[in-house]
Amino acid sequence: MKKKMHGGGVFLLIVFGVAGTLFGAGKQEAPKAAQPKSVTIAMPGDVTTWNPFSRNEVISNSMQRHVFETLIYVNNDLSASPGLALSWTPNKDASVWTIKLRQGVKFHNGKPFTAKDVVYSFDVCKADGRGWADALGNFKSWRAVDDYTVEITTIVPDVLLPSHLRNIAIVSKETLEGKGPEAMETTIVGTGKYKVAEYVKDDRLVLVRNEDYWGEKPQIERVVFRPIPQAGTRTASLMAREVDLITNVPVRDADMLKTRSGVKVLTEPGISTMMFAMGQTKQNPSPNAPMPIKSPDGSNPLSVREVRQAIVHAVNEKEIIEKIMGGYAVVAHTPVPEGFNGYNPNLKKYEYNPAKAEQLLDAAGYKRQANGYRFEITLDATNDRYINDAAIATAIGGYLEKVGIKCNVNLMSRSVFWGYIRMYEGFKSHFIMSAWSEPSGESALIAKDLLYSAYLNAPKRKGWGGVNRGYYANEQVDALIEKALATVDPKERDSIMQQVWKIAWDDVALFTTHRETAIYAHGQNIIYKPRVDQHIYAWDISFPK
Amino acid sequence: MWKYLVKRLLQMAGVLLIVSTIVFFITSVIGNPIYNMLPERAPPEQVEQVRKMLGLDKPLYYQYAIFLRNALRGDFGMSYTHHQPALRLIFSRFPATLEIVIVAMLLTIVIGISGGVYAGAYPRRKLSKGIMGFSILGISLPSFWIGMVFIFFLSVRLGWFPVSGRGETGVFLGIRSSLFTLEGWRHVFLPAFTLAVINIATIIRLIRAGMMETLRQEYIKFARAKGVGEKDILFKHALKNIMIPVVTIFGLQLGELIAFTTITETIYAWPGMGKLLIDSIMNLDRPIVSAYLLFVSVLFVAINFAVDIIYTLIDPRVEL
Repeated sequence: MKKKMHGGGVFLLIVFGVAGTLFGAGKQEAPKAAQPKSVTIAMPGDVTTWNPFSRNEVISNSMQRHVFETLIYVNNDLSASPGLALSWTPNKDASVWTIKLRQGVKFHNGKPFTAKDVVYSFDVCKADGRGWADALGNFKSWRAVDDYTVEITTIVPDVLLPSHLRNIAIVSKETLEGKGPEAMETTIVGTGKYKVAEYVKDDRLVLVRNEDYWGEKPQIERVVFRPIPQAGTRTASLMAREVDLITNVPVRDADMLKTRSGVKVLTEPGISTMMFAMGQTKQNPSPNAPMPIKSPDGSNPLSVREVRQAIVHAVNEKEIIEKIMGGYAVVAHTPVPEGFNGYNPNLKKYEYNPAKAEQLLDAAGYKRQANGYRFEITLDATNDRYINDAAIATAIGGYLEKVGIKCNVNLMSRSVFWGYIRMYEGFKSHFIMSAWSEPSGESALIAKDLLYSAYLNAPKRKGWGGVNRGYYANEQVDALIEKALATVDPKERDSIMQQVWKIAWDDVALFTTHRETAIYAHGQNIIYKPRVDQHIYAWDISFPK
Repeated sequence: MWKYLVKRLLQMAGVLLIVSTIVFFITSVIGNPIYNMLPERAPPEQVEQVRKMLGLDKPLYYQYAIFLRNALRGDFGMSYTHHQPALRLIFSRFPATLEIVIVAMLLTIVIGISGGVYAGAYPRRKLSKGIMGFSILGISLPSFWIGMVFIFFLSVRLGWFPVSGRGETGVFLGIRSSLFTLEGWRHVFLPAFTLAVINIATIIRLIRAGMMETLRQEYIKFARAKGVGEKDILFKHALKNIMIPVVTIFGLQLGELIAFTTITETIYAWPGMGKLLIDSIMNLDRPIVSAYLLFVSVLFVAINFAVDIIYTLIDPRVEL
């Protein structure tokens, strides 16, 4: 057998020898991707659509932002700076906002940028209904006051309205109007720092610097984005110097790349927090679940505060980070990352302490039965959405098992998951693992989605509490969130929000475990500074001097 | 012949109807594409708006009727995620897939047949044992593993081939393809060879077994006695007689290669149809998935038809 294998190798060598000679590639150097001032970036996927309103995901956002601009720019500390808008001022109660636009800006096809384009972009975004449409959720109306002034009226006063303007791309009305939705896929025209030079779907996107750009021009003249879905292939492409920067480096490759010369590995703790929602209504939150809640007296154990606290005590987040995430994650005590408005430094995740968890469960009246279990729940989680999500969910099931809670782990593909756990519809879920991130730097907006009261059959208030999947309800918290969102002074808002998170954490509204650390790698020919929102921008790249 | 052709076309229509029904209902019951497009916090009214926009608010039988009517006109609807007609998206990827498939099939023919004939004619020689060793490896190793190993050794270590991507395309007779540039061929070779390995291995084994059996037959002995040259004996007398099963397998392989290059395309970041299919499945992009599967069914029926025709050319005794 060994001999045969050897023969097989010889046969292979012949094949490749012939192929190598044929293409004259034997001694040729691998082609360098980096021409002067040109950079090639490998991403795990391509832009899904060039319609900048219909999809919200990191890859599409990153690539689109090179071409399209927003009214307000996001700095890397998540603060705002003027983009196509020069200023944004609210009236007294923040119900009407006046946006002053930058003058003399031109689209890539030479058409001038005016207030008409802003109004048109908002119209298209709203009509599309997908992706970013909910950013306009609180916009009642918008109109062009003059060529360079736009006025937005809100449904309820909104001091954080500018944070939504960071996400809505501005397209050219004159170029697109009346041409149907397909035009956006073929006519890719914005005001951004780069223009599209060549686009072959799923193969490459070539951008060249916009020499007529209104602001500071980036150092990189030509950017090539290459979608490479396989992580191993991305790593290999960097090692062969076919690309200059790769994203989403898997942990096993990161450790290997660190040992190689000429390659630099970067890490950046993200803002996306892994969180667990616990259906805490007295009434059964998931009557249609294939594996429903089972408790001795038929009650919903998750409705008891002490039980929820016990579950948090049972979870060993440090072990998850060390053993499952390979150290590439940080503990998340709350969904609010440090530095956000409303970040409360005193709040900690209930520490890992299984003995205390058992005590709390006993005290709550859920004693171990003859079979060793106190009650049974089911954790719904994805297996293809987050890094190691299946392993994390399985570990959580194991931790709960140890303290006497039978926890089924119900893993599914992300294509099914979002419909399965949807509130007010399926009633199949009572314990859900998913991640949440809010790029505005405002914890009031996190709380608006995660904490604002929601009832089993309907939201308390339209558009609020949209991701409160545990149906946490607390009137006091609701009032404080509303107050924070009407408070213009950031300091005051900060103290209100710190109070909100304190109450919610005393109530054990939900719990969080960790934030993934994004891993990047690049060649020594460039310098890259990663962003906390994990967007990849060519203007964050520079050449060493 | 004409009767046969009509019969085949009718069969094809039947197959397509059945496939379209299965495809439609399977894609319609799995998941809900709306939740993959909308932000998690989207309120119910927004869900309703998108449901209407995509026509998913109508009852399933009604949706199916519309689907059938449009499919007859070759219209599979707009892709949910790419906002372009599904069939056009598939056809725009087809050349890239066809490229690596054609090269893979050429490699299969050349290496598979020559290797198989050699190993069958001289089973005791060392090279024959080498060829059979290769075929065992080729059949048993999974293609994603082979692909990664090729990338690591041939691209990263030796730098003979590029790691991934399609490279420069040239235009010839209005067709844009990597096969018209040398740089393009360097990009094509590894994915095509990865794709071809298992087929080469299968064909080698098939031909070797056939050759060993045929070479023992009386008419070969007779030909040898007559003084026919060794080359003619192998290729004209023996090979021709074992071609029927080979052509059958070859046809099946061709169909499978075109339809399911997904893994190889993903590893080499090759912008073909396979990648489009896998992305569309993940996004529950129903128009693309159903158009793709129907397209593939047509392809399979057509290839099988061609294989039947080739039978009559190889063996005049076969009648249609």
